[in-house]
Amino acid sequence: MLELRDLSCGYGDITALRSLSLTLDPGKILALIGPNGAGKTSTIMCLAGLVTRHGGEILLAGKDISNLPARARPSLGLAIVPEGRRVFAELTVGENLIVGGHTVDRLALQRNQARIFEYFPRLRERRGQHAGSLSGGEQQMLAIGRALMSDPKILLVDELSLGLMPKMVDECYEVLTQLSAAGVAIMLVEQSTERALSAADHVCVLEAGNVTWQGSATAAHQNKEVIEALLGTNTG
Amino acid sequence: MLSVELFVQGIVQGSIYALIALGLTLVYGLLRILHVAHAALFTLGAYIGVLVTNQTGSLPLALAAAALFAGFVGMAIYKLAYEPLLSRPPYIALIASIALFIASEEIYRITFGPYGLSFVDPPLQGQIQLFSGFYLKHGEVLVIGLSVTLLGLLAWLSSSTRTGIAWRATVTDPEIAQACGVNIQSVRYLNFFIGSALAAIAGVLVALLNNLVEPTMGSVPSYKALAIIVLGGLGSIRGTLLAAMALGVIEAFGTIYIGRMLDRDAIAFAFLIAVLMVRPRGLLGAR
Ligand SMILES: Nc1ncnc2c1ncn2[C@@H]1O[C@H](COP(=O)(O)OP(=O)(O)OP(=O)(O)O)[C@@H](O)[C@H]1O
Ligand SMILES: [Mg+2]
Repeated sequence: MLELRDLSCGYGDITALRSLSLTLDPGKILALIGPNGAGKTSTIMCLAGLVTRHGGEILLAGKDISNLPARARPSLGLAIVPEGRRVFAELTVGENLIVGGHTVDRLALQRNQARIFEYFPRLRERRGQHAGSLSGGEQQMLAIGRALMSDPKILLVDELSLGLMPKMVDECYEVLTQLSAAGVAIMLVEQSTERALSAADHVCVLEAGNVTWQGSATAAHQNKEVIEALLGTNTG
Repeated sequence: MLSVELFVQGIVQGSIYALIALGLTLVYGLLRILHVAHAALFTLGAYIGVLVTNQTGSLPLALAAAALFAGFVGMAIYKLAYEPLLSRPPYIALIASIALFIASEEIYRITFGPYGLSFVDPPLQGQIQLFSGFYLKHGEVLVIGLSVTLLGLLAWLSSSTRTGIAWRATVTDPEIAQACGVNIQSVRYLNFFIGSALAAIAGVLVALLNNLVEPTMGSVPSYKALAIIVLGGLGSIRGTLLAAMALGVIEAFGTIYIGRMLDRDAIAFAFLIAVLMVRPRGLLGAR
């Protein structure tokens, strides 16, 4: 489904990610973990077309999308839940969803909105409210809902749990699990190694732009000390 | 009775300010550029209005021609002058904009002559009586009617159409809007088209009220519109409308009551300074 070959990206002379190769299949969850500044957000934003690719390829269903502009990617099935949520604060909840579904027709817009209100009933209650006035957890739900409006095949989620109450995080993870069961491929950036390991099928550890460990979640469980050491050396 | 008359005159003037200043607010909101050259499109609209009316005798046709033509020129200004400068600090675009505005006055002078143009047969010169002793020119009725219609249309566009909602999303966060599939380049073109068309319509209306268009008729509106968008809180559409109306009304009363001390065009700045002293972020901004 999604395949990265030697992907590098960065900002001008700064390299944020060096040579990342991985595949992500439908219905699978890949967790991208690493200390602050490891390049996780840069990777996600590069996949969305918002951070400059320095080298390598991004293949979506076998098609090279590396050179497509950001706005052409959602219609191919790529959607993003960005770091810091970044909901359109001055727009209402309903309007945020409409923008999320910018690439789909009117019928799909209705259908997807109804589905999202089922996932997150709170959003239905607050549909006329400005997104900026929502709580952090509600904003995260809205950011997920906005991404789901385009019927994505691949969902990129950056820092889902940051600053949220555990109950809210559970609620969001619950939806991600359902999506993955429905065949959506998910790439997840996560601060909490615990959560990442329990939710993911595949784990990729980044450190200062380099991939330091990659493998299945089962292997990650077995090598937990190794991974924690990798993370610990840079956070501590 | 005098105060009602003054108030209505203020609303007429305020409507014109609003039509001009809106484009400026839209550009500032989207690109953080102070689009001084915007007033050049106001003048352009006025010239087209007079020329087309004199040729065809139709004011509606003249309004449409002015709006369309200025709309496209506005898009061209974005493409040729601002887009190449977007990665530079905003004052570079401001300098380009000022240069463009000065150049436009010279272009009008060279093309249409220094003395200005008038309607051969000025339309809408009749008056209606609102109540005993108070008359309103047909042209002034048109100013209010057209402004309300256009602003209503804009409000509908921005809140009830997918394009309009995507436009507001782009103003809030262009990156994420793109990631949602919004073509922000089209949004920018639309933004310049609409803003420029509104300014051009204001130009035709002023030509109608004064029966005169001159190469420099954009100078005063250009700096007043800047004052208005600062008063409105830079980038706020509601703030801009409120500031435009307030300035129109205050000028109308000011010319009568403090006109001896303060020139009409200076009132805008006295008002600006007074407001910013109490509300540094504009009329609707937080204190
Ligand atoms: N806009 C930018 N311009 C220049 N450098 C940047 C920019 N954004 C990030 N960087 C740099 O790129 C590197 C990777 O940053 P990135 O935000 O991708 O890390 P991260 O893994 O998401 O970190 P965190 O866990 O703190 O979110 C860092 O060294 C950072 O300083
Ligand atoms: Mg990050």
